[in-house]
Amino acid sequence: MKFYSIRKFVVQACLFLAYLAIFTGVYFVQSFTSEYGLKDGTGICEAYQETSDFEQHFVKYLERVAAYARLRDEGFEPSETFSLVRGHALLGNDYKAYPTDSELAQLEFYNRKLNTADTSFLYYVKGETAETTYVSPQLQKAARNSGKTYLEYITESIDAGAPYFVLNDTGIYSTNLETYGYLTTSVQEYLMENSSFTTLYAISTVDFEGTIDDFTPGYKSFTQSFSRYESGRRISVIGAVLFILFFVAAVFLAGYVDGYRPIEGVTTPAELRAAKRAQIDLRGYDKIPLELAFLINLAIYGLTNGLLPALLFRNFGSLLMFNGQVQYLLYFLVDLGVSYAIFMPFIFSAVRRYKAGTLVTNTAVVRFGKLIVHWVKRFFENRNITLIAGVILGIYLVGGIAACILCFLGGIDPIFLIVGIVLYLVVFFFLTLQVLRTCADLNVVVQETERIQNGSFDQKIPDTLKSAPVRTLGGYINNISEGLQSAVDEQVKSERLKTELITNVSHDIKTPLTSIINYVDLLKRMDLDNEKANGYLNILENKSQRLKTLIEDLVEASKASSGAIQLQMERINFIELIRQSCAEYEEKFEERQLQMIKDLPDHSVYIYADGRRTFRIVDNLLSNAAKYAMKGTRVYVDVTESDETVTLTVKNISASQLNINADELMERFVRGDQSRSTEGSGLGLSIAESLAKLQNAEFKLEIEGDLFKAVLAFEKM
Amino acid sequence: MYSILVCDDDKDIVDAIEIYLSQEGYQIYKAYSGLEALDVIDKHEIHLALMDIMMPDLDGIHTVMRLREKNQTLPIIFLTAKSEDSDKVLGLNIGADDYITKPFNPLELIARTKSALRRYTVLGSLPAADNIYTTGGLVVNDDTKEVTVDGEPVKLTPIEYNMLCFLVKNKGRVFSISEIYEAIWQEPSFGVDNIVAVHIRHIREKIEIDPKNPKYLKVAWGIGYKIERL
Repeated sequence: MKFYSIRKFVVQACLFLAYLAIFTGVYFVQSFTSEYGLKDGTGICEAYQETSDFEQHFVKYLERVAAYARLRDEGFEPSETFSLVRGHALLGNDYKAYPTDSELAQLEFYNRKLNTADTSFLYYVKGETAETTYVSPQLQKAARNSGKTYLEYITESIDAGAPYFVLNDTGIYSTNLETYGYLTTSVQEYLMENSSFTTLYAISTVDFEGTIDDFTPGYKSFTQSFSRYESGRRISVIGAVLFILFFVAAVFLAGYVDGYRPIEGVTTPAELRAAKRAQIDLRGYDKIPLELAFLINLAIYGLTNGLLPALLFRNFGSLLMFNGQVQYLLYFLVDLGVSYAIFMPFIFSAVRRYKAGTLVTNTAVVRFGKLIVHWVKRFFENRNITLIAGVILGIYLVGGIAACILCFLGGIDPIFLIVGIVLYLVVFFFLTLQVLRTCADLNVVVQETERIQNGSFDQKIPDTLKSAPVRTLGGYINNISEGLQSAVDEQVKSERLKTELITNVSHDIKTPLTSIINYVDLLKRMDLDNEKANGYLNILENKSQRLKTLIEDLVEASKASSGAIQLQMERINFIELIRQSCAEYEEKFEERQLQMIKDLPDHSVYIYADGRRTFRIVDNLLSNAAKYAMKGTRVYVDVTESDETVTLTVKNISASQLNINADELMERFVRGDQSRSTEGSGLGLSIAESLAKLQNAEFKLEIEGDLFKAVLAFEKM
Repeated sequence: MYSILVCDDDKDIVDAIEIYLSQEGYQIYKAYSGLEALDVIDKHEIHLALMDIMMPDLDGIHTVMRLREKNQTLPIIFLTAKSEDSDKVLGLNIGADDYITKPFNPLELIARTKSALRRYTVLGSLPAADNIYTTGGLVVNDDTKEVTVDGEPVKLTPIEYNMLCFLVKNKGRVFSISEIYEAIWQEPSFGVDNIVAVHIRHIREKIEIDPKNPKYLKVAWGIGYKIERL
């Protein structure tokens, strides 16, 4: 065996011995107190004279005194020689010389009992005459030795607390020996009728050590028992102290196989606890649920408690019979030992469990409870929330109805009624709490979702909602909004990239184009004589200018359509703007013999728009008219008003046939002339349309035959 | 004889500009990156720089920033394909005096160059008088009824002159068409045709280097016209 196990074994052995010691002591104490407890239960006899045995014998002696006095009064004389003999076991034999039931035999008997030198019982029967006065020889000796009279001696003794009895001829007596009720009225009557004394005195010297009389056996027995009692008390106390010490030691040692190993390398208290627990060695018995272990022990105890005594008695009963006390003690100890052997392992198992942290967790109640909770959770886990609510409310309802029925049927004790009502209310409280929580959570979800709907995608539904299904819902909504956010981001990014691309590309195209335009111009300045060359140079100049316009328009159209323009909206006078724009085209119209016919209101009409961009639209319309109207025709520029809107209409007759419809014309790069031979990039209308849309204005084209109509409408401010 | 620095990473463009400007009588220095430009300006007396923006090593913007930090007050004109409004604003804020976008009209380039040079070299040579109204390089002398732009005289009709004078006297303020009419003709402006707008356009074409991008006589579309306070 390992050293550590030896230590444990030793501790356990000492523990057991201490345990036995306690109960041994208890046994002695118990046996003493049961026999020598005071009648009124207030304590124990501390001296023999307080015992009932003493009282019993004392009363017996009184009766003997009375009988002796009577006999002496009648004239019988005891043998003198005997009165001086130190009496002992021969008592019974000597007076067999006389017929056993004769009065003389009785007298002799009393003589021996009362007048022996070894007695502690002293009597003084005071008669009317000296002849009828009888004094025990012991009293005579004692009085003589102390130089007092009998009465003095007796009174002194009584004062000193000695047990006494005094009776006078009137029947009045005085004594301190009425604890156990041996001084019955019949005894008193006997005493009275059995003598003619005036006063009867009787005391005990309580010198039981030095005397041999009827008190002696009782006294010996008492003394023995008392000393056992005293030592028993000591043993008990010492045993208890030792028991506690060893128990503590055993508890300390419990569970470790090799002793407690110091823990290293842990940082948190939780880790420390876990490391300590890991060191505990749990045996098989320690692993079964606590209640079960206890029940096993109980069963074993029950069996042994029934069987064992029977077995013992049957087989060893004869052996144990020789000394009643020893037998009982042994029986007692064996019983104790067996109980110890049965229940101590349980206690230490509990200690080990506690050290390993499984004391509470490894009980049937807890394990079963956990199982139930687990099943319930599993049941409710992924169920429809309606189903869960229905089941819970259903159980609640059924429970309530059942309880009511029971109440009505059974007249239940008010206590149960109250308990039932309390339980009902508690469950109701919890259910209400759940419902309110779920509702509150739903509210939160609705609010947050509204915010998300309004565009703030970074709002998140909090993760701290109490109700699980609503939390899941919140999680889904968060995911959706994240998806939305990234979709929006993607869209914005793609638009931005597109615009950047166009801007960058146009920049890259403009650079070489610059050189082309420059060198063409330089060539033109060189005034070449070659006519054809000059013609070619003109063409080159035209085309490169066209390219330039095209690129500029392209960038503008792209920005306008993707909304990447920063509008500067302000309150402007639409009429003023139209006038300003028309002025720009006076010459151009004249060049193509176009007549501009304006119909503008006299007053100002204000709109909320970007001046520059609106000019661009009007500019485009007039430019188109200037380019594509048939020479010599009229161009109509009209402004009409309604309550809420102001409309500009530009009408002209197209120089060439318009083979397409209005919608197609507004598409990018589409021009009225399918052959694309005239100037212009074809983006103008598309740009105009985009700019109008950005400013929330209406822009449309109408084509009827050769009549080309452009309409631009704004909301009035 | 003025010296002009032409800086662009495209050699062909630099050569073309050299031809244009040397025909006007300027001495041309060439550079193909910002660092080279700084170097040239350090070593020679340069009266005007034509600067591209997109260049390797040091781009035009940073070059101009450094020049202005070194207190080089020479006029700088950006010559670039970056034509966004934001680019123009940036360029002018950095310290350039003018901004021309590519592809450019060579005549416009020459005109702006001359204008910038005149402004630079003719600083402070104008007497401050009550009846002389100036803004930038535009000078309206109400005593002599003469108008000059960067020193070059401009011929205006009487009505055009009145209009311009009126606007220059109130430089920075926007006037609507009717307001201008009433100021000049001293009559209420009902049912009049587009005289004012047409006159404005004529004036613009006469005094501006690029009437489409006017420097002095600006159009506030839908509101009116003004002479910019420069």
